[in-house]
Amino acid sequence: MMVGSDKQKALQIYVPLVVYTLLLLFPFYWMGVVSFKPTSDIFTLDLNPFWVQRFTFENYQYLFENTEFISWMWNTMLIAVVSTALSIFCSICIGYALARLKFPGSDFMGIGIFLVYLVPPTLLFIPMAEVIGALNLFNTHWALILTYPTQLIPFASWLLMGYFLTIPKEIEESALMDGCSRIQILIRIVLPLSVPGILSATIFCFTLCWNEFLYALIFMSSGDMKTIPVGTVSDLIKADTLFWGSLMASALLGSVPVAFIYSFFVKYYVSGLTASAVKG
Amino acid sequence: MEKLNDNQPTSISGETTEKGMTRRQVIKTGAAAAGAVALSGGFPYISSAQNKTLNIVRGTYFIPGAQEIAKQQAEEFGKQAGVKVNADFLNWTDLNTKIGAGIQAGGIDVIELWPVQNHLYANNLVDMTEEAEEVAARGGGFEEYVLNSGHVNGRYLGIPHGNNAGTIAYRISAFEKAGVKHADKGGMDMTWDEYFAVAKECKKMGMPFGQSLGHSLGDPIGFCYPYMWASGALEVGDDGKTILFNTPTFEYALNKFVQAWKDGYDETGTSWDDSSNNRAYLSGKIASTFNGASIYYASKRRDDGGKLMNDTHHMLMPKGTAGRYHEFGTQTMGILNNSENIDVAKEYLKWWFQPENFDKWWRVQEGYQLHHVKNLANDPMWKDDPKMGIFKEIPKYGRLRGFAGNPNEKASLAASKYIVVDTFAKAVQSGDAKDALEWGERQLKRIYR
Repeated sequence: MMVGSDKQKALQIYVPLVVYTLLLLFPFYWMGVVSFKPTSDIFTLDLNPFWVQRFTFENYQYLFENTEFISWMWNTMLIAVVSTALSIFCSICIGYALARLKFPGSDFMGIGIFLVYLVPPTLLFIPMAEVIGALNLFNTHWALILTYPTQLIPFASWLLMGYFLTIPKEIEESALMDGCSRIQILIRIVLPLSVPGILSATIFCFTLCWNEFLYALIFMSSGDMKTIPVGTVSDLIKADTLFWGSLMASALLGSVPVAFIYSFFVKYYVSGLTASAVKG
Repeated sequence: MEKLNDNQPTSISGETTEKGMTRRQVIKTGAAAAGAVALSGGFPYISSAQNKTLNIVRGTYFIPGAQEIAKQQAEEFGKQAGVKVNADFLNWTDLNTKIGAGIQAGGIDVIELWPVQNHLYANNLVDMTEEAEEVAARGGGFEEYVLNSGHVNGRYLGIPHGNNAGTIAYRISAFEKAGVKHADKGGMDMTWDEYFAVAKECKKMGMPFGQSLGHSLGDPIGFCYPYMWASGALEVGDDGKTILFNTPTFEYALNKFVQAWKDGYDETGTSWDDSSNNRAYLSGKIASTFNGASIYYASKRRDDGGKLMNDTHHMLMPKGTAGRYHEFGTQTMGILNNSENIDVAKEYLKWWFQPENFDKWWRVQEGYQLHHVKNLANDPMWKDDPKMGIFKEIPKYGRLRGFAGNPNEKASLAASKYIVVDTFAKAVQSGDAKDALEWGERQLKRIYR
């Protein structure tokens, strides 16, 4: 019966979906609620913790007036955008070369690049710090712009290599017959067909840069040169005293750009990630 | 003129003249030195201030004024010396990572070191014995805890500047309801048994005691080590090798703690960090906890008409069968020996430790940062708030991790692995103090062998 199947559909699809959505959105809701409460209300258990009784902007005011949040936001954005652009450019070149150009050791290099991705960044921060120190780049944007791609390129190249392999070779061969060079094929044929893959790699890179903490702490943690993750922790946690309201305000504002990007490109992101999952 | 720095490129020591400088060269060198002094704003040992950047890394301060003053003072020094100064304040837990990278790759000149870190990084720090002794002499001598913890094998690898200490904070009203007399006066002289008895009464009233037994830097270690020492146990003896941890007296005391945990404590404390007890106390969930003065400081700034502030007081750690102890040693301001600006860094520290600079920074903390020199024990600041007065007594009972041995890298390793803290946590979770002690003893033996 129609009514029965609607109920069943609601139970099987919408109820779990609503529960899951609420679970996912709850941290954002909590950040929002706490960020609009005065400090004394945050610590008062008599009040309903899930609602704002006395609305205030004082936590946001503290964040903007007593910290360098605008600079943190700018630093994070600049570094994430430039690192991502650099990584994607390199990854497209590497991924295409490994997918299409047969040269001695190309298979081994493909595996090698993936293995590099498996090396934990925490093992590399000391040698990386030596390089950055030798180049005199501490506390400059370049310190992170140059180091983040070392973590991003291996995975993005591997992802894009898989995506490029799903594009039928025949299209490229036809273009070759028509007189296109490899560069022209890449720019005019492969890249337009690979937009979902490139977008998913871009989102992956951007998110990783945006949230990265360890390298940002070591290479760039002075004054107004902090990124949002480092600035939030170092300026809003004072010994054992946490500025909960401002911490939540910073976390909320810091997650907006990533959430914004995801919401627009999530369709491409999923299709990019799953493109090379099946043969076809 | 004193030669401060082996790296100093334009030293004008007598040695150079002996190597055959002509009179003209001496005059030229003298003129260059005078120029350097002029450029460096009256800091004679800074060889040349031009293009120099001094990088200072310190921990954050929960009293905003302390951090603000430290930052302003660093900028002021920069102006006077003609150098660029970066002063960074990092979350405590991130300091070790930053120091590790700084040792390996440079980029840090002056670093604020927590107790024991001067032992941990001994090979990477500049000897500052002469400067430290100057500070001590000017302040009427270092306090005893500084003498015990501030040096490494007889040398000061940084200038000690005291430390923030923790003690017992409690709600006067809850203690009074539990039958404690003169709770409003503070400074009660309790034994651990008496303290646990109050905890039991308070928990019956719905307001237990709270204690973090998790893996965080301050409160768990600050509580567990003194309880261990007061119960007649040591992680290691004074030979630095013999483990004196699993003693009958400590087993007896740990069993008492296990019972007290059930009867009088918030049992979620095994997962707490340093901020959890602050949050629990300020929200009225617990009646007492071990903490720095940050709880009281936060209560003073609440918009509740002074209710919580008036209801909060402090007392020293309770006594055990072996006495009263606090886990306490001095912090030091050190210089990494791979710094390219050792001369500037030394000048900065000498300047910052002048009373007109240091005392201003110290006083704004209202007793949270305990004094390093004896003269400050009688500072008028201590009379400003009677509820902070008890903090002045803490140095008398201060011992550092590793006691009765040296606070060396092994003691630091044992603390960083939270062996003593985990022994407490295992005991309260399993209820088997003997088994927990045997586990702790095995772990300590691996480190101190």
